[in-house]
Amino acid sequence: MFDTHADGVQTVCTPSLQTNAQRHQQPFSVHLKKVYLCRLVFYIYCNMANFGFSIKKTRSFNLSQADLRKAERLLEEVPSYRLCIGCGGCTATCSARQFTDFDIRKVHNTFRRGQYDKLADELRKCMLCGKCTLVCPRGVNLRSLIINMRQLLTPSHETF
Amino acid sequence: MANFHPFVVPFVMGTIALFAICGYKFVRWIKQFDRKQQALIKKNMFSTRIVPALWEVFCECLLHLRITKKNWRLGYMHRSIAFGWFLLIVFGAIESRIGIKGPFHFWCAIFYRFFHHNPPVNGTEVFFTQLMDLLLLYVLSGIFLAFVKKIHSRILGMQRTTKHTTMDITVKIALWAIFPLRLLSESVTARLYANGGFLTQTIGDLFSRPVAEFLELPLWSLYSIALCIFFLMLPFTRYMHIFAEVFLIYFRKLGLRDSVKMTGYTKYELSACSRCGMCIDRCPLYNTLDINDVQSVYLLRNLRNLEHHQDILAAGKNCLMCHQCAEDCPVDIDLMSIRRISRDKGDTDMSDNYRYLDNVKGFNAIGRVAYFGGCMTQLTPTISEAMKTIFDAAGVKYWHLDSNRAICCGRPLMQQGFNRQAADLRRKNSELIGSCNATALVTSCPICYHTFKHEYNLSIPVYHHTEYIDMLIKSGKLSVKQSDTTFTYHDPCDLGRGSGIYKQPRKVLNAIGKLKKISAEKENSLCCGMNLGNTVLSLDQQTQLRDKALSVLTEPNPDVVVTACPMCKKAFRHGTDANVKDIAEVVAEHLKN
Ligand code: SF4
Ligand code: SF4
Ligand code: SF4
Ligand code: SF4
Ligand code: SF4
Repeated sequence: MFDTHADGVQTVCTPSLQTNAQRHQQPFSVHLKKVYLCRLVFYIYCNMANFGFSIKKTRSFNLSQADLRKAERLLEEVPSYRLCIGCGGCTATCSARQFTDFDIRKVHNTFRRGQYDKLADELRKCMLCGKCTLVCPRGVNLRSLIINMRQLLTPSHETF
Repeated sequence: MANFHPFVVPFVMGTIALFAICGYKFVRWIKQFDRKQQALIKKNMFSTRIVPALWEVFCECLLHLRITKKNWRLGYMHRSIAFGWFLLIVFGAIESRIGIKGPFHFWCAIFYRFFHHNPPVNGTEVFFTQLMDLLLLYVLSGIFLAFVKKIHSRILGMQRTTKHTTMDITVKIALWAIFPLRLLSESVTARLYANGGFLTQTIGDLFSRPVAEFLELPLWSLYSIALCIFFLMLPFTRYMHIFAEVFLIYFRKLGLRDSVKMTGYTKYELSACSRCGMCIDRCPLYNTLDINDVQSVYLLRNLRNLEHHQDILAAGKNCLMCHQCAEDCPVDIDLMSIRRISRDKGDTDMSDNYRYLDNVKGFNAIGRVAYFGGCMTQLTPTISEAMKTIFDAAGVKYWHLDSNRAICCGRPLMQQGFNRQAADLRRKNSELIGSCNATALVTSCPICYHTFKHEYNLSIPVYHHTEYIDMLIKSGKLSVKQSDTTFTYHDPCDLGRGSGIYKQPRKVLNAIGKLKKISAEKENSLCCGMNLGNTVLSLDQQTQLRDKALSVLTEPNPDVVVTACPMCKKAFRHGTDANVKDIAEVVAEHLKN
């Protein structure tokens, strides 16, 4: 169902390390699988409750009141983060998440929106193992992102 | 005053200042040693370790054998200046002791020909006169090569030499001036008093008598001034390595190592760097990506001068931690530790993290081998599957301790300067592994292997799977099929240069098929570009590094490109149509029966 590689990983591979030519050489069957995958995902999405998922409380930010300076600084330091599509691949593979409720996508997403409360403590859960960087389909340098977020959130680093 | 002339004053002042400043610095650094280092010094100071230390000082500080091994022309250059000068001082002292009449001052040895005008009479004096000329010629040949190297480094086998600061350039000119000035002043004196050897006498005879008389004093004064400038600037420039290296070798022999913070020992290391630039040529960031301000030589210089905080941070960050420069450094400075020190995250690095790991329960693996794939192996599960097949085939009972979740070994944190956080992870892992009663720990990832072996104090032996498979085959527990498959093998940085494992994987692969030679292997193996040590390279740059390594690996057209690191495998797999496998997978496919 997933795009399975020879090393047996069922994950979104890092296409940025693939050449374009390789990417277009996928056989039709793979293509077909992807179509089915999409349908399945849509089905699950519509029936989330039946699959043991619950619906999260909606969070709302007032972007016009948020202080986006740190977030902008982050984007400057880690330009690849501009490519993030919020797919959650990073969270899915995260080593820390295997032990605790730690959601790296939520952390960087929240940071990006200028909501920095509690993120410093949250980030200390990360082990910097780098799995997230390896699986990110957009080639976001997550380790660099995490280090930079930590530094931007350190009081002595307050340059604003 | 007998045997004195005002022109010696600059030299005398320079010498006194030199010893005073060096003494002050060396004592201050010793005070900055941390407690562990001080304890080691107290324990071993007068032990028999002094003998090998002295030997190494002789081989490295004077003969420069390590440089010679890597590049004989460069070795000759350094040796002729260091060893030649050393002999000039030693024999000059002996000669002047014999020859000087009246009160003896230490400058008499340096300016001997000026204070001793009689031509050599007996055999001993003739011998010394000729010997001193020969030694001077030896040193001058080195200076000449240094000059050639400056003009055209490739003649001496270097692509790129260090970009020096103004201070370094000034002091270098002073050093280069010393010996030609000595030659000239001795020559004119030889012209006047016929007290020279084969070299100085011949050159001296080219001058007419009045010219020689006119030049004598100015030349000796210039010689004295050049020495003075060199001595005065030495403690503040790269030439401090002349003395610092002696101490560094001694301390290293006593067992001292870098700690995670900057200590006095690190200061000795920083000063022991001669800025020879041998760490530049093979740095992948330089030779593939053309980044030329982050190499160890520049990092060390910035750290030593402590003046460009931003530069230190920037240079410290951009490095793959591929160990290549540490491998190439002739002074054997622990460059990877210094890189880590430069990345120290200070107050971003807090202790008491990972509370959530408190609930992770221990496990019991009595009599089994603990297998730790590592975080990266979780993304390449075929490697751990292959290892399980191998364990089963060899009849080894094992416990896969990170089959569904993994606590990181802490190395990635350490590499980025989060030392306290890394210590928290180490503590938890040591606890888990220490209490599981396993007989050995086998890992699939060179990074974890290096960490468990060197940063943990585990009571059980730690093996990387290449080593372990080799042991299984040697002991007859595992037998593999011969085939005519051809391989090329990629030495992962942390397994090869980092841990010195080169033989075992080659033995294993040769038992299965034929291992082909490649142009950059073992110590010179190229990094795949994915090293966790770097967080600032863009994907594009990483891809360039990977492609370069791949081009070397695929050049002999092997059936399989073999590596022994899940990261390298992941990097290479996407970059080539060739078959890329981990060594464990290759072995698992070639098991007998
Ligand atoms: S960082 Fe990468 S893996 Fe994570 S959400 Fe963004 S695109 Fe997905
Ligand atoms: S680096 Fe941190 S966020 Fe990324 S996978 Fe590892 S623990 Fe999770
Ligand atoms: S770090 Fe080592 S190789 Fe590099 S310049 Fe210094 S002494 Fe030479
Ligand atoms: S470790 Fe590698 S990348 Fe870093 S400076 Fe040394 S040679 Fe260059
Ligand atoms: S993945 Fe391999 S070659 Fe690449 S950095 Fe790691 S150990 Fe070095």
